[in-house]
Amino acid sequence: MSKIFDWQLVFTEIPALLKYLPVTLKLTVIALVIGWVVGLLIAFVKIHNIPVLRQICALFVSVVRGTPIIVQLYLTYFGIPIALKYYNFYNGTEYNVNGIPPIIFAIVALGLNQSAFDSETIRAAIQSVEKGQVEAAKSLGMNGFQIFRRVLFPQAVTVAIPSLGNSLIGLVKGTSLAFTCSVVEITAQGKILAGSSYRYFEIYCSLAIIYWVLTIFIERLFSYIEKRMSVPEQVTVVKGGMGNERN
Amino acid sequence: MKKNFAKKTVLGFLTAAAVIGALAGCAKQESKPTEAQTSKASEASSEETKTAESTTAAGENKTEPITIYAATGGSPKPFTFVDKDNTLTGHNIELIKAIFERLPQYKLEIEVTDFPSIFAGLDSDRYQIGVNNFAKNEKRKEKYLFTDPIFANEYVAIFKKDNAKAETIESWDDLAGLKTISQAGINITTALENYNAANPSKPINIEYSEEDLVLQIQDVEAGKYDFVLMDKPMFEYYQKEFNFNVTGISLNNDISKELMGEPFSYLIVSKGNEKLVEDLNKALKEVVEDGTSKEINLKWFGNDYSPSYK
Repeated sequence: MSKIFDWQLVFTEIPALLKYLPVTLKLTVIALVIGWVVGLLIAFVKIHNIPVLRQICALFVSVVRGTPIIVQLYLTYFGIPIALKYYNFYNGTEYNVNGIPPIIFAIVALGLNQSAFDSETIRAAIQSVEKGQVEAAKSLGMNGFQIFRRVLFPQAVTVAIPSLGNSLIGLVKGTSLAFTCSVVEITAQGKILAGSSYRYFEIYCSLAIIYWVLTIFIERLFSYIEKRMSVPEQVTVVKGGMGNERN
Repeated sequence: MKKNFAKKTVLGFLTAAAVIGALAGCAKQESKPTEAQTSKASEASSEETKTAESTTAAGENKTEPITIYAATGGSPKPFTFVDKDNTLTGHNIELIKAIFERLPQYKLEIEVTDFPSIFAGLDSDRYQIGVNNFAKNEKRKEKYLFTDPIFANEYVAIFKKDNAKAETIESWDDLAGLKTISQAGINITTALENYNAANPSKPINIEYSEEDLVLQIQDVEAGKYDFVLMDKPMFEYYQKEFNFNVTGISLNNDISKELMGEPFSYLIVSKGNEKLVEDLNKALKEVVEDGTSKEINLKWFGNDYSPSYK
């Protein structure tokens, strides 16, 4: 019986997989930005309780959080062409969905998924700031943006960072499903390599190592940011006193 | 407070209206310049689809080939896989390329995707062809178009080496009542399901799993399952790589033919592309008859599994 588990292959295959790391990172970073921006917008709608928009956002968050990401990837990647097919049929147009690169679909699906989760984190973080502080800021004559920038944001970020880091780690692993949309990232490349060597188990071990190391980096990065951002217990007295927005 | 609420309501409605309005506006703009095309399309037979139309159009005007998107899972080797130089190759891939060489009116683009995505992509016409050693069954026949056979398959049942049950196996009937494992959607599972549909009184126990074939064979070695079914050429590749403690029993092909109708592999094509299937069949026949198919088979399997069209 020859080797059932070729442990050397676990390490020798890593460089071949790492060639596709940029794709994984690209998916992660862009989806992350979409997630934060859209998540912030949704959080604002919820906090300010804007009718109609609030219901739409609540529905969106509920649907996205309530369905697996692989299903969402399928729905965007294959649902949009079906919708387009109907649209073409009824309007006589000739739009071709293959003109849009597949990675766009993956990024949009991952980004929107991320935004639904992050919106709740951001909302909770902003609401964790005492109302009295906002009122105090108002009485000092600050406008809405100033209150957000100087009072809400610095404090909310500290609260939100650990949860956002957590959901970012989830996102990194979510990108491994992008192969459903024909996007070749590291997991997809692993499956492709194994398709010709039959060494699936070894490749999945290599992938585990890569994702783990990636996650350690993110953990470190976020704990660093958390330390930098945290509001110190004891306020240091700065010369000039008032007007220092950091502390 | 009330005033504030009213203000917000108005704001909410306005924003929602603006967003919806913007979307609708885009839609209208898109449809405007196409009114002429709409009437053109309705003049033509309404059942003809977009692709069929453009196919005929290109037939007249040979300068612009139509791009056909084919999808493959990039596995299993040697049917379809990506080699060390990162190029897609294998029996199915070389064959489809040989076919398209004879069809200058089309341009072939092959995309590698997750296996279940091939079907979803065909449903949505994102891909027009699925190339992954596909077998045929009734349900698939309803949903997709099939070309003529591209490959005459031979299945082997793989048993643990000293399994007493293995000694009496000659045909599909002898597999009844035994336990096996298979991945949903692949040709082998289709064959098993076809057998069970034809013999509801004494079915084969199929357990479905996304488990890798290596693990499946190991499970057979460990006695978790009685057997796994595999394409014969694939089994030979696996044995070369892993040398498992198993035996492969070729199932009597006449019987399997009788039971399953067609132990062949095909290219599958999304609905509405009847013209494409016609062209593919014509070129496929050429490929088989002029020996290109035999050459490809010999290269990958050392044996000719070409279907015969006599």
